[in-house]
Amino acid sequence: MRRLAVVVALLAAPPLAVADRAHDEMSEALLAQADLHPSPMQLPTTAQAPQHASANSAVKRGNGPQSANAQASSEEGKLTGQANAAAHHAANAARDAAGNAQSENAKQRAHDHPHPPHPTH
Amino acid sequence: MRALCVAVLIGLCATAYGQGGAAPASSTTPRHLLAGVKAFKAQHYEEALVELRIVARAADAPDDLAFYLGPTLYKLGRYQDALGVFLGSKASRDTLTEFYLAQTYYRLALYRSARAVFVDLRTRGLGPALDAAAGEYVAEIDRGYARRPAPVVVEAYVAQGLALSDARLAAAYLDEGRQVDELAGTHRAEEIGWQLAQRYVALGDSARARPILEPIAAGHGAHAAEAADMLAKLP
Repeated sequence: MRRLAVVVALLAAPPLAVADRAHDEMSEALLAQADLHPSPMQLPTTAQAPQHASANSAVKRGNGPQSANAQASSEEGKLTGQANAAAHHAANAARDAAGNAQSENAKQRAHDHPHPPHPTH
Repeated sequence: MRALCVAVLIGLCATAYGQGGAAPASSTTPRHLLAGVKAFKAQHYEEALVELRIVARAADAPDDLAFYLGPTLYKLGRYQDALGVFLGSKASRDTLTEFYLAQTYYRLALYRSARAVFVDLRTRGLGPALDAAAGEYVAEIDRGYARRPAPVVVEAYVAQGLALSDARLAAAYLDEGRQVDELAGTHRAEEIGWQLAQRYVALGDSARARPILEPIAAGHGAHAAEAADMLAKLP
């Protein structure tokens, strides 16, 4: 019977001991790495939207914690930056429109004033 | 007696080292957990995440996996994922997990939710370092809300809540919007509450849905009839 108790203890103890150790070590790390000072608070506005750092990107791209932190600060303003995004879209749209217009103008010019073919070398 | 001993031993072996199944329980799970913790300690968060993902897939994953996984995602700047892990965990949260949850709320600009957790933690008792930190967070949030927030702040939270497909995260943003609505005096409680209640119902969280739906159903607003219908269907 005593032998049974010893075997039971041996079987049950290792996983439990490792789990306990993991919990203790994690507690220690969480305490040591907690952000004790808040970054300045920034209330979101409708004109702002999150620059959502892709959740998987840091790991998938194999980025280090440094870049992950950079991503963090970008996501920190989860609700910030929509205005920038909107402005960006507007700028893109304007650029596209200008590009299209330019292209149309060029086509028209080519049609009105066809150039002689370039000499071949 | 010997036969009984053998049976007990076999049972213990099966319990301790897993019995197979869809997600294999294995004796390697504690090792991966420990490896994840060691990587976290070394601030190798990606490596920690890889190990903890292995643990998460195992049938013998610890109930309090959020204690490990949530802070790891937080450190990787994956705040929404971290929030999903914290809020989705069924294990009771300890002080450190709650502290990281509050920090996650803060990083996501869900300041009212962060404040509530920090205040609760301080009431329950924290160590000196974390208590001082929680005090700093609360003070910062109170400074930010010293003046009545503009209606656009409410709108921002609501817009974000409506944009998110994950019901748990959407509820977090809508709940924040509801709290800020009270501070802003924008009187959007019913509209936001209706959206929030729908998320809680989707999550099977009748306990939270009911007190939101009841006043909506009792009122004469646009969603009164729908709210009454939804209330009637709640388990």
